[in-house]
Amino acid sequence: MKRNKRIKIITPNDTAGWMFVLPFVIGFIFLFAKPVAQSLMYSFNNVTVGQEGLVFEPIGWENFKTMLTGDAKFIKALWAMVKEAAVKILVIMFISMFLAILLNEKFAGRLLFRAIMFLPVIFAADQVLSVFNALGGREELQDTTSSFFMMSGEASGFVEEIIGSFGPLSSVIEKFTGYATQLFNLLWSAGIQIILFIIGLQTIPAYLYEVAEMEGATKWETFWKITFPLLTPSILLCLIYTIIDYFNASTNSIVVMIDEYMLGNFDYACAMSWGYSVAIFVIVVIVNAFLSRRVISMD
Amino acid sequence: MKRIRIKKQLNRSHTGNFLVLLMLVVVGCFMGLPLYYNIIQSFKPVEERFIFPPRFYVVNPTGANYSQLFTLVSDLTVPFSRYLFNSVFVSIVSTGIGVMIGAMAAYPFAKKKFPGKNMLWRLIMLTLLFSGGVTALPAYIVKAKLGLINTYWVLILPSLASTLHMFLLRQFMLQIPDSLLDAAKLDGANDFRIFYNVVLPNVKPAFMTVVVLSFQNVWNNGSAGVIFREDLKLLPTALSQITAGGIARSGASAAAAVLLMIPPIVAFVLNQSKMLQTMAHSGIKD
Repeated sequence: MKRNKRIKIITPNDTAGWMFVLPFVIGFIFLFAKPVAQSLMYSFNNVTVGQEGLVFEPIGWENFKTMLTGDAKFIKALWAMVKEAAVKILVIMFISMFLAILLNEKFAGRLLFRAIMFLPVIFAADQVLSVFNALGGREELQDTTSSFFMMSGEASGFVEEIIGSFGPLSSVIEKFTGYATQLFNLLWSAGIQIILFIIGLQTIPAYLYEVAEMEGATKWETFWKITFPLLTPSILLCLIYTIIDYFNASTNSIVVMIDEYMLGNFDYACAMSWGYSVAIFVIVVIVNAFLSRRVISMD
Repeated sequence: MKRIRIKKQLNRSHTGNFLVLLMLVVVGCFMGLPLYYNIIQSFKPVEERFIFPPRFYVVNPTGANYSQLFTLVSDLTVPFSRYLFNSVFVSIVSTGIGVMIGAMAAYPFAKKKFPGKNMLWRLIMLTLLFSGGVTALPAYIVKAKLGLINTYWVLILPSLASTLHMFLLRQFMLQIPDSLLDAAKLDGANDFRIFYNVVLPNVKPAFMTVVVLSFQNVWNNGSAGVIFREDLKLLPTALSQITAGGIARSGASAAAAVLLMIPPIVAFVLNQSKMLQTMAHSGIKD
């Protein structure tokens, strides 16, 4: 697509780059890197509050040992979460890609629907959903959804009756409706991804579609031969974004657990969050290594 | 080569069109429902607000929650307009400067080579993996040592270097063809001109999206834990103080939640034409 012998005018050692990065790096070092590094230091110490402020007593790898062997809660929660995340992240990816493709088509009212899909970007998803999820605990969200569909509380028993009447299939249906109730949360965490995909779709040159149409390719073929391959960079980007966003959400069970420990056992909480971060890092590296070779670029 | 627009609608049946629309309407409902619930909740009288299972309609809509909120607000020692000013000021300043710093940092990471670039990039990306709670205590110590507590700076400075926004902008800048930048350079543009007149216009939709995202983030953040002076507190913190009174004030709290949604809507409406437009064409033909 690009001529191979392009004259490189931008020289390899361009220090002007540093000028642009500098403001960011300064802020980054002081307000982000330093606290992160300090939290690593804390996790190797027994931190107590003394008269002169914080008192540190080095204890080596003790916190990490407890986390991996002594405290069964952490590993268990982590494993449960990874399993749950795998399903949810795939669903988010699928939903957002599908919606982006729909929203990229031309049809009446497209702008309105795009604006609706922007809702999670305009509002803080956490806050909007917290009122909604607080309806009576997350377990009871299912009742909420069914009452929404029946538009009245009394009718929710009716839904259960219908589900029950399917006999052996009822557990499958129940599971399905269980997933359906998660839709609110999943949709609201797909906002940025939809935008990323729409922008990714728009970078695909229109002439490729013209050629495909000339050659008589069907829509289905066009999708698999043009849209999907050229969307792979966006897929990788979205996937990594979703993983990080999912694991760092403030409502996430391990993040909540760490925040709880933060109040009493500060150094252990630091060690835990480092262990957690390393786990996320490993996941991202694996995903990246597995997918980046399959990414097709326009060049 | 001249750009040819596909005028003809690609062969799709009416049923297909209808199905697409139907699907979008269903998804749109799901997307809108939590928001709708927030709004409807603020118009419910007390006896309806706590019905279980909750209802998605109001029998006797009332403005009492809003008037309760206004009474509570007018009794404050610090005038309401002060909180509003604090929030608007902090949100606009940190969004304006923050997104610009992010875009400036994204440009060389996407398009330039400089010593230490890859290492620095990896280091910055690594920090995306840490959730906020982890660094809360050390971050507080840093802020305290820099003397930022109880100033506007503690609200503005930490949101200026957002790794996420920088990352998003960089991904879009990567897609700008190098030849475009080379052409600008040949025409004698310096780095800042290239950044401002070539790179930024080309990533405008992404840039505007980041602006709205950043505004929403700062606006909702509040000032709990870093601001202890009443007259410097931000609106969300102030409102949550006022409405923290159990069931008696839960109506006012619901009303406050809805009112706090207005500024992000304004930010979105002001930017939406640029956000939703199709990506600018690269202006390069290979």
